[in-house]
Amino acid sequence: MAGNRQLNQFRRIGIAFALPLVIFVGVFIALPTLNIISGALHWGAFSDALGDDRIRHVLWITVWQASWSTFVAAVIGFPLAVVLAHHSFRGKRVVAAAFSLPFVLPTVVIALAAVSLSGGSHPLITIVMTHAYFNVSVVVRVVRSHLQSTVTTFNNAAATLGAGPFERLRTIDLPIARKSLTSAMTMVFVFCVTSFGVVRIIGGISATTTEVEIFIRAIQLGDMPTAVALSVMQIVFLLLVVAFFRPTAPTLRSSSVASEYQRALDGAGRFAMWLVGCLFAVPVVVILLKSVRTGGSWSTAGWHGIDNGVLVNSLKFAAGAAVLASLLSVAAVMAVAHAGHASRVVNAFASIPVIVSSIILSVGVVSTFNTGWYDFRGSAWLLPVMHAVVALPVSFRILRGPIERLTSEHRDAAATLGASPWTVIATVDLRALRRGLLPMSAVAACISLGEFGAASVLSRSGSRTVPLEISRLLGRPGDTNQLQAYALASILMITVAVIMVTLGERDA
Amino acid sequence: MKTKRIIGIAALLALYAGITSCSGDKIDKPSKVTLLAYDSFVTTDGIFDEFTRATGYEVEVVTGGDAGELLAKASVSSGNPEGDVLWGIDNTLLARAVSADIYDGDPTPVDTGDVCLNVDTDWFASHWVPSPTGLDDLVKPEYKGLTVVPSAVTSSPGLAFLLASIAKYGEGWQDWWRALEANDVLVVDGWTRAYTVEFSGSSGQGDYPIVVSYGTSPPAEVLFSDPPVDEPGTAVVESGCFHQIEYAGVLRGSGNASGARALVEYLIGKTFQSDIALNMFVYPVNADVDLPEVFTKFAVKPSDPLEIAPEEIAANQKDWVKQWLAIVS
Repeated sequence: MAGNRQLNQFRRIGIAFALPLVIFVGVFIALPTLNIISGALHWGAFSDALGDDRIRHVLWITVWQASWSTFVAAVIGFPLAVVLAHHSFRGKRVVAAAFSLPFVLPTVVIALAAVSLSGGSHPLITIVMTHAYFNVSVVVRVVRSHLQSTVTTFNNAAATLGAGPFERLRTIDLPIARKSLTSAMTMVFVFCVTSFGVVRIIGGISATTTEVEIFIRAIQLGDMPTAVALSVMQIVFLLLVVAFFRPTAPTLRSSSVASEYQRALDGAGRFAMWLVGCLFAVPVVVILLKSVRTGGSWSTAGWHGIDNGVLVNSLKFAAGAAVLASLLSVAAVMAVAHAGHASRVVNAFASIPVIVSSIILSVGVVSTFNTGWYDFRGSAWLLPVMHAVVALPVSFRILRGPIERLTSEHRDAAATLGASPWTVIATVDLRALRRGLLPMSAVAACISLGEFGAASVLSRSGSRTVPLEISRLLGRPGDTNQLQAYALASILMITVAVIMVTLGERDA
Repeated sequence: MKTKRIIGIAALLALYAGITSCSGDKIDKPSKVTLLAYDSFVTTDGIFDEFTRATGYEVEVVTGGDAGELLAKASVSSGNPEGDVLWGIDNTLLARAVSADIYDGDPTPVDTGDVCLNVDTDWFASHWVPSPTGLDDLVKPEYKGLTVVPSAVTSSPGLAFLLASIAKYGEGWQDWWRALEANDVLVVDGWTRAYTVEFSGSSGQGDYPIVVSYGTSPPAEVLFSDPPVDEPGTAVVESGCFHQIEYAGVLRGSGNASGARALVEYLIGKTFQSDIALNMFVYPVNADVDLPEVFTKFAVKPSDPLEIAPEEIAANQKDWVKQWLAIVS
């Protein structure tokens, strides 16, 4: 009886924790989206869209490229995550930071680099490789944080008993990490379906996805009903994907493992990790080079003329977004841990921000928060709030690792010793989250720094961010504009690298 | 280890400290006029001081997206606008703006520009091929595989270029595009990739010496160069340009209509008009304004550019774009 009452108490607390997330996502994402959908939707637009050969082809390309991109990102990311989780080696943090960099690089810069490198041929393959490049970091981050403390001891035991690395990967890591891998892949799939800049630039006229078609319809052709119909199809499809691959409750329990259990990587392994790290850094080097070289001559003009105001804006937004994303993510994972069945709702809500097309969302914001006290249009705080909400799906997943490793036994033990639910939450749960908090806010800050989708369309006064300024400069003729764009991209990369190396995930 | 961590935390705290200065949102004063504009709206600092002194209204510039995105947002908030004056709807979008009923009264032309072919002068000099003189040349064998254009579906200059071909060839525009396609034209998503990656001139290192850009691109090549140059490495083809006119208009439902009207007047006045050529690379509409020297020397303002009425564009754009896509993809 007493156990039941306590369970209910936990559940109520869990549901209370779900509130901030539900409110923020509900108000800033779901409400504007539903508003624009209900305002512009024609049922006829669905049958028109599905009857259009071009749109059917667009839907097919969308799923095709997103599936392949996800597969490639997982195949590359998973082994990297396993090595980072189980092994220690010199320069590990730098290599890990190299994997994280792409995720926050401005898409326009990387897409242009990909076009130059591929010579513009095979756009679909280039899109898949570019998406994989961007999203390997998601796989590494989510899987690594799950494996880190869970499996290292098993792995060590197996290694001692003579199991080779591939055998261990197949028999230990893959089964155990299946859930986090599924979770990461779901996220990556969503990102690749909703990806805009990469597909628009690399795909050109030969490969168009739903997200780009939404832009074409809504913005270029002024055909809001079709844009909204496409958006609804995309949202429903992605919600089904997220719901279907819903991560289940953890089945394996273990205690936290300190880094002394990690084994040193042998020479070949170290070489391989460094090599992959260097490959990831190639676009970085290209960008640095382009910030000082144009039309065959060297110049530092790009680094002189940088607008500091833009950097300050971006840092402010990143800080605000990181704080807010931390608070929301902590509440969300607590809700998932305690809310029982309601945790599914929390899970779905935490994914919504990246499911909605940013064009539909931005137009929705304008048509929703438009009068009286909630006329938020153009408010300076709207951007960091949006960044935080957009960062949620990733930051929430990073933090879910540590809380899922806790089992009811930890809490039961505390409760048996007379602790109240709140004390249990404060001493057991929050303590478990503490270590993940800093890396998580670092990632949220970096997502904010690189965010372009919502920022590009939302109205704002005097608060241009770095990615916006990069895209503006790239849109003008003249060498020094190009140099400056790449100098800004370099600063963005350096900032992200510093944040990830100092605050990023580390061994215990 | 520990010190690094402390440095990290300190850095994050410093970052977080920044947020405090980001709060304190401005409260709407009745003495303010809000100007909505596209992202590439750039002015000299303090350009609105004279307006504020004369009228007492502060000007707040709010940007967000390109002209198409501005129109989408203005359309959904028609009658209850985000600001008082909207800058930047051009003649390709004007009819849509008018039918969405976003303006209070007729919008006023504020600047003009032309979407024109640009060429890499060095390439043509070194390959002993004469520069093309108009759209007709692009489909000739000697210009095979030399042209890159932005897509009419995803790019505003791309659409303007399609409109130029329709204005020039009328019913025959599709035949011309088929010939251009057969002559190995490269169609890319937008201006940035066309000009900065695929074009052989300027900062581009690409293989295409002919690109769709603007009549005012060469002055930018001179102004934004390091080391400084006296002459651009690119030139404009005077024939086959599409004429663009940008408008500014008072938005219907503006909370400060008199301030908004005064601002539109100011935007076409001499002070503001003198500021736009070098900041936005467009031609002022005010005839009293003297053009900067780089414009008179290197920019091209075609005497007889191609035009299509805004209503005709709005009525046919979807069909044209669909037919165009069938040819080039």
